[in-house]
Amino acid sequence: MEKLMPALAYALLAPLAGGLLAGADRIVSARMQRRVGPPLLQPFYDVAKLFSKGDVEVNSLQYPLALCHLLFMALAGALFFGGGDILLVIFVFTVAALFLVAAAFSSASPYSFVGAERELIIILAAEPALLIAAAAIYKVSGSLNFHAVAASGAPLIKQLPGVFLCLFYVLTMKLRKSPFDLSYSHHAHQEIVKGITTDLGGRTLALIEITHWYENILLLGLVYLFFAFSAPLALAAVALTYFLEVLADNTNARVRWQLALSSTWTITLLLAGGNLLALYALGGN
Amino acid sequence: MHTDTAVSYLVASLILCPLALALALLAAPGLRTRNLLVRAGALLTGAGALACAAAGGAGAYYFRGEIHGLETLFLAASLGLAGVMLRYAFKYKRPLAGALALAQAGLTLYFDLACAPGVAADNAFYADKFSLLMALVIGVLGPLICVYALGYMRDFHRHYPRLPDRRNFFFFLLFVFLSAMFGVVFSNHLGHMLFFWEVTTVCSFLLIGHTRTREAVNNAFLALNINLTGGLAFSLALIWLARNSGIVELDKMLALRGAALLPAALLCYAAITKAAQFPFSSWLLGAMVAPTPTSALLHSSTMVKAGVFLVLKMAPVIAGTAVGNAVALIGAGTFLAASIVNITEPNVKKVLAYSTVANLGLIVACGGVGGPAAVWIGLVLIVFHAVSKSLLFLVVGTVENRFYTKDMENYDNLIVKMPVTALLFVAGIAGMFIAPFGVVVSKWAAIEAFLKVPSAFGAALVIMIAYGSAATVFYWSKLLGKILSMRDQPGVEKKREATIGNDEWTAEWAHALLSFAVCAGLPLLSAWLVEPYLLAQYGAPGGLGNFNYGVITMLLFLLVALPALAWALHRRAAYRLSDTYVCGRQMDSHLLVGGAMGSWREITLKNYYLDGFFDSGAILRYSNYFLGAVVAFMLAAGVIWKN
Repeated sequence: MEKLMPALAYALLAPLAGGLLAGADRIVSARMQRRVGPPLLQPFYDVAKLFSKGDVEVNSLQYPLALCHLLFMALAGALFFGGGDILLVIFVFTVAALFLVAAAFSSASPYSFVGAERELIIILAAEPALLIAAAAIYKVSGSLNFHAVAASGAPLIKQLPGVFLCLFYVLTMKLRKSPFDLSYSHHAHQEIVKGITTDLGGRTLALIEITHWYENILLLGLVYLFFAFSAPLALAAVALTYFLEVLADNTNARVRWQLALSSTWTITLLLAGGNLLALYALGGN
Repeated sequence: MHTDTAVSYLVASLILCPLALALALLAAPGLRTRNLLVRAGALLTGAGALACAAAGGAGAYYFRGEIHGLETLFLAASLGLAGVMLRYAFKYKRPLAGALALAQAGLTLYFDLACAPGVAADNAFYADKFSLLMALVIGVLGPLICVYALGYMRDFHRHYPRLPDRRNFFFFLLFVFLSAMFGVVFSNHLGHMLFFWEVTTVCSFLLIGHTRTREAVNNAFLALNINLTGGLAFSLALIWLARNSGIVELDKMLALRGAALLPAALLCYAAITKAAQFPFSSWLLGAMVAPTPTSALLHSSTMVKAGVFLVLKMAPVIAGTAVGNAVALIGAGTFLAASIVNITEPNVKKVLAYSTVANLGLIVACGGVGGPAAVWIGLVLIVFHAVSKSLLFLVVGTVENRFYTKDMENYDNLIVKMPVTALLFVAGIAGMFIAPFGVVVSKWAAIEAFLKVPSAFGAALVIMIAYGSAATVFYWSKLLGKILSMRDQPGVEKKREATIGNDEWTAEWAHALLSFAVCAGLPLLSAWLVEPYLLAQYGAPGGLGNFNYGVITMLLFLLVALPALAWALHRRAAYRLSDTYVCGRQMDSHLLVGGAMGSWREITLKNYYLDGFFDSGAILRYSNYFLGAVVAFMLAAGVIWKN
């Protein structure tokens, strides 16, 4: 039961929290650009409008694949907050991302196709960091269960600063922020705007938006874990992390995928890998 | 009848029945007899393997195998085998292969005449839970592949009418191969195991060279040479054991633990060549020239699995030593390098091959690390990988026989052209990299097991697996994307699937169901065959724990049910189908774009191979150098290391 409640809470409340976060993101971004910005609830209005559109699709596979994208993302988050093994959560998280990639591949549009390939590059770049972060958490706290790690009181951030920095770098990709918004950029100056969703419209696109809200909350949950020994500190850290990501988004142009991939892999090896190996050298644990 | 008597008869019949069938197939007069023999043989072998696994009780069984003249028979057969190799080496003028075969024959004679007579062997054969698990993999998947080959070879020879039809010999080899594999996993006498080991080498040599084209002959000799060096190492281990420790049996060798480190290192060398680890992987890539059922057999239930079987058997001796660490490094390094190289590979059969090399690397790494948790992963990964990889080869063979292409880029639109085959294809790919199918579960468990290694070496292995795992996701996903991409061209012929015969359908569907069943039944499989073996060997069962099994089963159910449900509901929904968006250009879903002067041009979309980013040639070269040095270190450590 104690496992089910947080999982259910995530499944029901994450879209709400994620939507509000997206609204706040747009206001903060607007202020950085000296604009007033939309109302806080604008993301909800957008999604409601998408749902009200007529159904136009390019093939029979896209909608079911987008729906599975949503369901598996919610499942990954529910597993995470419900105390499932974090490594398994990462694998399910990847499965969810793959449904979106498959939806994009299934369309014949070259834009959609390029978007799908780039999304795969993002997965390729980010996955080692996520797996090594989970391994490091396990090494330090002896567990991969969200609640057990939080309850252990282990100050992860003190022992895993390198892993956290690396995770911050990778979050930029996963939160779809510049300079790494290769496949899903919302900035009009990019050569392909939201390539991966080119052929997704109406309610299919609405599902993708909601999934993104789920995704963001799950990723911030991972950030929370590093500071979980003190809940207020952790919430502040999560807010600051997200603010810094928005700042990065507004101050960087997109980089090419080669740089995105090579820099992420290098940073992962040096910061996260180095941190993990240093744990043994320092005799921690 | 006593259980052990029953098991001993079953073991004997598993080795002998496929052999008898093979001989019958060689003499089979016509197509119908052959079809009948293969189907009946497949049923018999499968039933035998199941009965054997079911009859085995709690412990391991050892059989004296006291048959008058058995040793002489094995010696004669070994020399006959050397004769076969020499004949081909002469015929194709390959002095290296001839020299290796002669050296092998010399060592065998030396062992049999000078070493073996002074050594008492108690039990020639045995059956423990690990052998029974292997027997199930060999006895269930192998025959299914043979049945599939009936249909495949018919289409194959129809397409290549100029090739001589030597199908009787082909099927003869398939069943001899199965017999030899049973021999490898049930032999306690290492001399016998070496004989069966060499039979698998020669069978794969002949199968790879089946078409006798120049490329096939070259690649067959490459496989022969590499595997013969493994055989030589095996012989040296055997002679060392007989002369220094006075034993020739596997169980006695394992009981020596650290004192048997040198022979264990030699056997690991043999295993690594057979399991096609870097730097010895080239023979398995070259084996792709053979007809696809050969690949399915080599990659799933036979040949390479004999290699990883031996590494996992050696685990208690090598774990925690420099030899064990070297083996683990070879495995993890192979996993990483093969996975990254695979990103740049457009040939689907080679993608499957590198994926095999990578997965075997993970198993080898588990064997090198040792301990119940890691060996548990090795055992279950053998099963998971065998089922999914075999399914993938069967499906690729079916597609290949209809479109005559191996290039991933031509798999566009398969979901429209061959929907059922595409679905089976997706099932196979899902088995290789989608959670919670077995291969991913194994990676997950491997990361946690390697973190329990007390030194930083475990963490280094984890880092290698993390990178390799990311690469794995990339190369499978883009193949998956190609298959699922829909181009509803009007000209597409949708009747291709009607030409697929019942033999192929049966084998493919059986594989697809099995890949689901082994994953859903993981706790049962583990409790039945894996945990008892680990308990007997290590005193701890390994495994993932009930909560995780529950989560895996739930996820598996959802992974099948949710997409199916979403698709079924969506089929009935009303929506308007529209053309794809190309920035306002005229384009329809046939991928034709309106060009200038009223012309229509077709768009082709090609996958990323990142070949400007990853230089696969350099990666292969340097990982071969590096891991070659590690192999040398492993052998040196076997000589020097003292406990």
